[in-house]
Amino acid sequence: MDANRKLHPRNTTAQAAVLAAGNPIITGLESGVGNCFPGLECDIRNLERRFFPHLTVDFGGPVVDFDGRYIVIVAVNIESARAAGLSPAELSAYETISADLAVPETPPWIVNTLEGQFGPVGRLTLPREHLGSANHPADAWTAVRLLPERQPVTLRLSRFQDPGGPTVTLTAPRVAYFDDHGALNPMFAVGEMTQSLCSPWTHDFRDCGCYYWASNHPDIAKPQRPFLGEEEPTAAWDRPVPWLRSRKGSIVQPPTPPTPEDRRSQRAQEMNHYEINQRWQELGVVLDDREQGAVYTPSIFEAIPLPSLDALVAHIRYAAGVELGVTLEYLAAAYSLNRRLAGTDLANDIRAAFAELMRVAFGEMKHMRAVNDLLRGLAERGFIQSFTPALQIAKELPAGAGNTRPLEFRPLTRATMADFIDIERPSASVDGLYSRILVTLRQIPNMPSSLTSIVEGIIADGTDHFDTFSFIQEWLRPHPESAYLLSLRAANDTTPEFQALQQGYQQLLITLYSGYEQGLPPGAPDIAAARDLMLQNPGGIQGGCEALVTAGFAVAFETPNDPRFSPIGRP
Amino acid sequence: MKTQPVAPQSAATLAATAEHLSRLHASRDWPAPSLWRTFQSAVGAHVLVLEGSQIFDIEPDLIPAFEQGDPTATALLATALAQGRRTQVHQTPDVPPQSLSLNVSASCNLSCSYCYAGQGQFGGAQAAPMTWEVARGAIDRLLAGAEPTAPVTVGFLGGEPFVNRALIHRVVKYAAHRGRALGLDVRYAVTTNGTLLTPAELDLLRRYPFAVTVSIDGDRQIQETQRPGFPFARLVQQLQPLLADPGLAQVSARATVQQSFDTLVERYDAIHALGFQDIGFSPVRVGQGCLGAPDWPRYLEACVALGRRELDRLLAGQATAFSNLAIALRQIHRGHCAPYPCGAGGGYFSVAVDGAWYACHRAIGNPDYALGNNAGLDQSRRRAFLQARHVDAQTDCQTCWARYLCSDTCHQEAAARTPASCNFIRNWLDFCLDAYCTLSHHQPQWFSGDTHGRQS
Repeated sequence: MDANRKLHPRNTTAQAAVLAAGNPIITGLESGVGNCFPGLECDIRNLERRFFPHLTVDFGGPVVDFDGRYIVIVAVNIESARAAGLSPAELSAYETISADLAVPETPPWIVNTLEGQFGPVGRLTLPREHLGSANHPADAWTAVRLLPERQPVTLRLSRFQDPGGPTVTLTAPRVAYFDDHGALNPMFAVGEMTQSLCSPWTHDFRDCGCYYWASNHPDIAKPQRPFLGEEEPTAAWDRPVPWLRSRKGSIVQPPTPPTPEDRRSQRAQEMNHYEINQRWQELGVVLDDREQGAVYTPSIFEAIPLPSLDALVAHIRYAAGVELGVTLEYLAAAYSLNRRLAGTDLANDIRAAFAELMRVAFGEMKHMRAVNDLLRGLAERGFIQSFTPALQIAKELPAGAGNTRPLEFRPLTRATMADFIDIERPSASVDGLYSRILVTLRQIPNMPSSLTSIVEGIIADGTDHFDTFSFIQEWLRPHPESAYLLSLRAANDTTPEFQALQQGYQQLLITLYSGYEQGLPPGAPDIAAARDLMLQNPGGIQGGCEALVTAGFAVAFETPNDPRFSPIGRP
Repeated sequence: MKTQPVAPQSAATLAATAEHLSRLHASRDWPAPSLWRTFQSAVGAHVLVLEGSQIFDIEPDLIPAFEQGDPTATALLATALAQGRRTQVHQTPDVPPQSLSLNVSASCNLSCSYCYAGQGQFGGAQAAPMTWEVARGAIDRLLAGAEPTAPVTVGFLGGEPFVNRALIHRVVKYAAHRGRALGLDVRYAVTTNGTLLTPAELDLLRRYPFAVTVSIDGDRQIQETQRPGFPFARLVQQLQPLLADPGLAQVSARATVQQSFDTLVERYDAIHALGFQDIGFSPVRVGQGCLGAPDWPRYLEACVALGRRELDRLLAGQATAFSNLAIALRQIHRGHCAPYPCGAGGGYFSVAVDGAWYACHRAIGNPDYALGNNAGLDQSRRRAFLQARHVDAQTDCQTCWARYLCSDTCHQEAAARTPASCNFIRNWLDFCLDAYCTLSHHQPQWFSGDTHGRQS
């Protein structure tokens, strides 16, 4: 079967499951940050320039028009008028205006009276002078904006300041700007909706920092990598610098980031408003946090493939053990936080830290399941002999650069936090482990993308975990450890709360093992029961942790004495 | 499993049904356990991913690849399958009770042979009407624990609830008052035979957000035969003011179908002519008059015949009141995927006159369903109840493609589940899947806006 065949989602859950290629729906005009002044994404006044068939108008007079009462004809699409099957009289009116427009010195044609159904204002015959007076639309554009689409409207036109000159009357339905699917009428030219955006996208662009919602430009970015032949650029090329800087600098000397003290000189080094109008192209597209040159080359995914299928399986099983290990480490750390405070900044920081730590812990639990799904998938497709659930905790955890550290249940001290950040650091530690698994899977012929995508998903989550932990570190930084940590003792086998938690943990592993072993759907009740056990309070893992901490003891887990769960070493 | 012979109706419906059944038959053999299922509709070929009830259109020539589990087909579905896994369908829910029905009366002025409640006495489990103290205790318990972001529903059942009309009036006013104080959106429901509505009841139903379900089975002859004890003409007279001016009430008709049924079209038309805009049919599955193995194919044919006619109306841009169809279409559109057929024991409980909380109003007096009282629920019993009834725990359902759309039908009737009744559900859902694809193709706007089971 051809892999390029497509599924077309029909109902809502199917639509939610599919990410279609192309522009997202919010790029449609109706989702734009448009307004009726030179807007941010488009200027919707440009729609009304085409409100009457075959005509293009401008709002704003042939004279200075502070009241906005003038509608001036700037173009006639005479071909479309001729093709529209108009009566000879109607066509002749269009021909008259069109002919005048071709002669430069002729006074422009203007609308003197509008007649039609003006939405909530009702049916009106509206001479230009009445605009802005009581009970009438404020200006010509507002009046036209009120006309419902496809409803008849009559224009009485004459030349500007030409009392004895020709006049014409035209009646036609107001043009529909969009079709029934919301697409812009093809009569609008490319760029027409944005043509009247004056400088917001350039002038404002210069001044709006990262806290202005409409701004989508980077404040800082790494400079474009220099081409140095074989030589690797120095770390100086990885320092972020102001993206708006006026001179992008030498291609061999890295730009220098400004210090907090020289903000003023930084400002002076940036392009000014008019420079941006002229030289915006030089600002550079930013991808992967770095200014890019002419052609963007994605970084090559580098990792050393594993030598054999056996090694692959051993690494996958170890990865599951790492997921289990970090899950428990994160739980132990989360429950060391003093959540009994209320109402202070400290209490809020702790609450946020706890919630985020738990979210990451849940993420690791999902990874453990995903790794087991991967193993099962490999077995079901015959890549490996058989599947047994991988629920053996890792004896030691990867700590970057090929090092390991022992698994430990510790309170969330600054040192612990630093270790957590290290283990989730992209392209290191856990991520590095999965990178090798991924390149190995990709090398195996006929490996379905459904299996490689499991690993890709885990790697992507790692970045989120790294960011999250960096935030937690930031939140807790102002507070002394003693303020946000509980004072907890180590529990031992005689502590009843500790015993209860260990029993719950053992039961959890047994239930999960049974669920994973059966697969879906037969194992679903066990997996559901395991989830229930995790969240049960009182009882269960959550309840057990709470009870242990309430009794003054630190959360820790003991590996059950069962060969199915015996700790696994790094392969 | 063999399909029962189809009783002859009109040639056209017979041909359509036969074609429909043969298509079903051709696609019956499924590798167990199945994760998806291909099917064809009037507008093309489709695949239904069971978890998440996701429907995709596929090129018809891909059907064999999907049926044989071709790896490329699986890969195409990978995202959908991953999304499906993210549903909560495998979990046992842990939600506070949000809906309660009070079995306020222990008697009924009619004597329908198939009544599951034994005219409200539940075989002696309910000897007397509910007292105010019991009702208030139940309401207090419900409102104290309810989730404030979702509506709370107080229902009235019996027997005929309006036999105990004074209590209903008092409970509604009390619940509205308490609900306001607690910031809760309290709504009401009543299932009634409609014979005891006085101006005071009409006023109550119009002034409070009531879902009023009227038990009415068809035209005069059917109604007076199945629900003896009250003249049809007087019933119609009683109901007219409510149908003409429902106020805040949403009025629907619930028609019970006994083994002796002929077609549904005439019944539907008779009830529709009275002014009902929401008409649902329920077959009797247990007890006197229940449908047996030979009756289910006939019932399917009757449902499909009415369904086809109403689908044609929808395709022509008109409305339908056939709620079995309308609800199924909307559920399919939303990707309905549930581990339980109803809220019994989860968000829903039914209170007996003695204050005992049962998981279901049909199980009053059945100790297996007694999970607590006005003082509180026995959480471990409740959890065990839910775990035991989870659709994943039903061995018969494991290989059925319809399991998350049907969710093992009514718990009370699960014991009466037969191959024939399951076949009915699958075949009916198959018709609805076809209808959904056709309607969403030609009249997609029908699915936008109104999220109720009907389109006005």
